[in-house]
Amino acid sequence: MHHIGAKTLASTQALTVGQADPDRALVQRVQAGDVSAFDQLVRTHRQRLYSVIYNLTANREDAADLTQDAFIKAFRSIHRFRGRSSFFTWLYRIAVNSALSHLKRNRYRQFFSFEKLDETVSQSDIVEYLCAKNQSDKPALMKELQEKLNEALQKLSLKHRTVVILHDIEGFSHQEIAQITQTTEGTVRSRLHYAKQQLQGYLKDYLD
Amino acid sequence: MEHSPKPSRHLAVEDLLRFKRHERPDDAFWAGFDHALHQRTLQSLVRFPWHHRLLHSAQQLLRPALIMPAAAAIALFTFFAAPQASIISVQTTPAVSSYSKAAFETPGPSASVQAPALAAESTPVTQTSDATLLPLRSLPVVYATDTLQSDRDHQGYQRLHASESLTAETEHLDYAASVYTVAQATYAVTPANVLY
Repeated sequence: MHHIGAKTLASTQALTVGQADPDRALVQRVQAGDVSAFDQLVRTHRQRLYSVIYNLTANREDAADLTQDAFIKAFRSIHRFRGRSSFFTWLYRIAVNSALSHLKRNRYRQFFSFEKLDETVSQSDIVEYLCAKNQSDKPALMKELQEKLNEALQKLSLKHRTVVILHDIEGFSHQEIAQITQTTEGTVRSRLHYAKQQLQGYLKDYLD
Repeated sequence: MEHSPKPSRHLAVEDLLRFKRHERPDDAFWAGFDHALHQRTLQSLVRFPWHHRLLHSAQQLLRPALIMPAAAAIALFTFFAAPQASIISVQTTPAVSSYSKAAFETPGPSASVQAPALAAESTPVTQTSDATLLPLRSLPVVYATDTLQSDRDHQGYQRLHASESLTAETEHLDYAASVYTVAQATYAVTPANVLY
């Protein structure tokens, strides 16, 4: 799971096993007035937070703006954060709610703007497998797969899209997703099941 | 920890979704992101008074709507008003004394007029026999000072402009000379200010 930063992954694991929030010390420093500590929180969470919002919106410019919005909102209201949940759950809740509000506001005005694929993707087993199966050109296949995946995700409803992104792309647990989306774990599982059924239909050309 | 599907088995939806983890921005993106975030964070911390925000919002809304009319107004002014301003009408009718006298009797900002006679000698007033429009180039310096820099300059201009109505009578010459001197002392009217 190289996409997720080691520190962020540690936060996730810490919450799962019920340990203290690893961001707690930094949060306390920010609450005490040390602004530089917030920079560290930004560096820790920005990549994954951006990724969640980018996959929700399929637009890199909107994703950048919304990620910044989420950090600014978090910074402005961090004095109200009491530590009842982990900081990253709180932050992701702010970000996901902002992104969903944005998508609802602009539901008839959506533009795709895809992020670049990193260099390691061409060596990925998925790409190798699909190239071998379809006898197709690797760059063309990667581009096509990227477009099809984004299209398929955008066809899902917002609540189903959110759950799939958080679980299957970002690797959050059901419990964490339930905290972020403020639902129950049962609801998360149910949404996930339905969303995967939908995606299976949209992506059947690749799943044979 | 990425799950690697083997070519011998079918792909699952989960396998395809993992492909999206490879959509990642580069380092240059993050440099710009951090910079923009710092700027926006600072902006969010500064709270302007409500009337500043209202004015700013109004400016943002009205700016696009005002660009074209403003450009049109400037263009109209350039083509119609500006050429007329460079031509000064000189009246020779003697009936203007009351107007010009009234104008001159109001003391200027610096009322201490010195050596009007000297000024009269150095700046002769042109008189024309008919009420024609003279091009600016043909007038002496005293008439050509329409360089307006402020309201105070504008007052000076009005006095100078009033002097155009003077006849060649001596008393009026004195007034004109004194006005020019005031203008010269107060508003820095020099030949360099003259618009040709």
